[in-house]
Amino acid sequence: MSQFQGIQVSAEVIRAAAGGDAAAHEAIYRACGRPVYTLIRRLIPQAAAADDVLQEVFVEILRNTGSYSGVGSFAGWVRSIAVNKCLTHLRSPWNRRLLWLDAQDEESPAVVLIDAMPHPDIQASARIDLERALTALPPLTRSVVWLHDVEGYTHHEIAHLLGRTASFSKSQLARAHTRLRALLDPQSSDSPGESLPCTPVSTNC
Amino acid sequence: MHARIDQLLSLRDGDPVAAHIATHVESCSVCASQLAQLQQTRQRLQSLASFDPPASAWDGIAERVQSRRTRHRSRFAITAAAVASILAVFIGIATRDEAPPADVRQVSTQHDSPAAAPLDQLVEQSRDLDAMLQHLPQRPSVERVAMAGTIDTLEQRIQWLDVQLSYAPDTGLNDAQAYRLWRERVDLMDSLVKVRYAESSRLAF
Repeated sequence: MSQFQGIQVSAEVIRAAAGGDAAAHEAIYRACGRPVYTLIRRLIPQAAAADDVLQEVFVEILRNTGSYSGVGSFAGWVRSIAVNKCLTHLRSPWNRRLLWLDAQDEESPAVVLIDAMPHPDIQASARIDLERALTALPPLTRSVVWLHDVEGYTHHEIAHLLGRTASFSKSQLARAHTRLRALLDPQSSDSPGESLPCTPVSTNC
Repeated sequence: MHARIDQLLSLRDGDPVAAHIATHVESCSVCASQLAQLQQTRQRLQSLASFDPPASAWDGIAERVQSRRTRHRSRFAITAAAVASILAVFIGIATRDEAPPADVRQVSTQHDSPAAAPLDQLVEQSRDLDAMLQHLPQRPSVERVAMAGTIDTLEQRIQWLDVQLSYAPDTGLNDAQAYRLWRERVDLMDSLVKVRYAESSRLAF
């Protein structure tokens, strides 16, 4: 569930922030900082780059609070700025060069965390595995699965953000889950399996 | 034949799916299991831990926001003169005896509420980036195709924006629309400077 849903910022604080009130600025940051940074880190796993984008996002939010029209939630407005900044960062030829990404190869993972330490807690281990698997996805694929499955964006909204079609978003989501499944369970096949026969679900237990 | 992963995702998300696919999934334990796994993966993604921003993040943000406001107030007179001179150039172009190019988009003349963010800041940023670009070495006579394509695309878009801004008085561009165009120009100039710098750095070796 998107953490932005829990953000509460009063109209008074927004007005004060639009007028340049430093305390109001900080109140907005304290209310929105964690959801924004979480979103950024999920789309941009590299901490240093994420820290830079975090600053860019809040500088833009706090400089332009006055342009929030009141249509839609303030949290939604904040999130849209964060998402756009992240996607701009990921699309930037400069940043893609720094990440050693081949612009033509969406299959190349950006970062793969390596941690051979065993984790006694199975649930914690499962979460870490999912963290690693998510990080191992190509940036675009990772962005789509996070925006859709966690932030609740529709395929049409994602398509608009990416300048692509809804079909493209759907295919990226399918690709994301195929790869996640392969990373989390290498034993499983990529598709439900042409080799596996259909097994009827028993209805008379 | 089992359901494809994109079909299972559509089922999971309540999107339209062919009736025979839905019927098949209900009666096939393999597909039902895959569907349950996709639902579980989404829940696990939504349950992943959040990230706390770095402790020092707010200080950097506050400094940039406050210092910008301080510089803005102290340089208001200079900035206002700069904006006036730029507008004078626009007016000078508009009064020339020639029609706008045919491909200049007719933007809406509906009056929007003016953007609260200072437009002059964007103009200043854009000018700074132009100056940075001027200081970079000339483009080499031989370039990588991908690099040349990226630079050409950026330059063409910036040229289009410049035309839009130049003919602002004729097209009735309001403050909010001008802000968006200047915002895009700053973003594109930023990318162009970085790409040109990367190119010049590569050539240095």
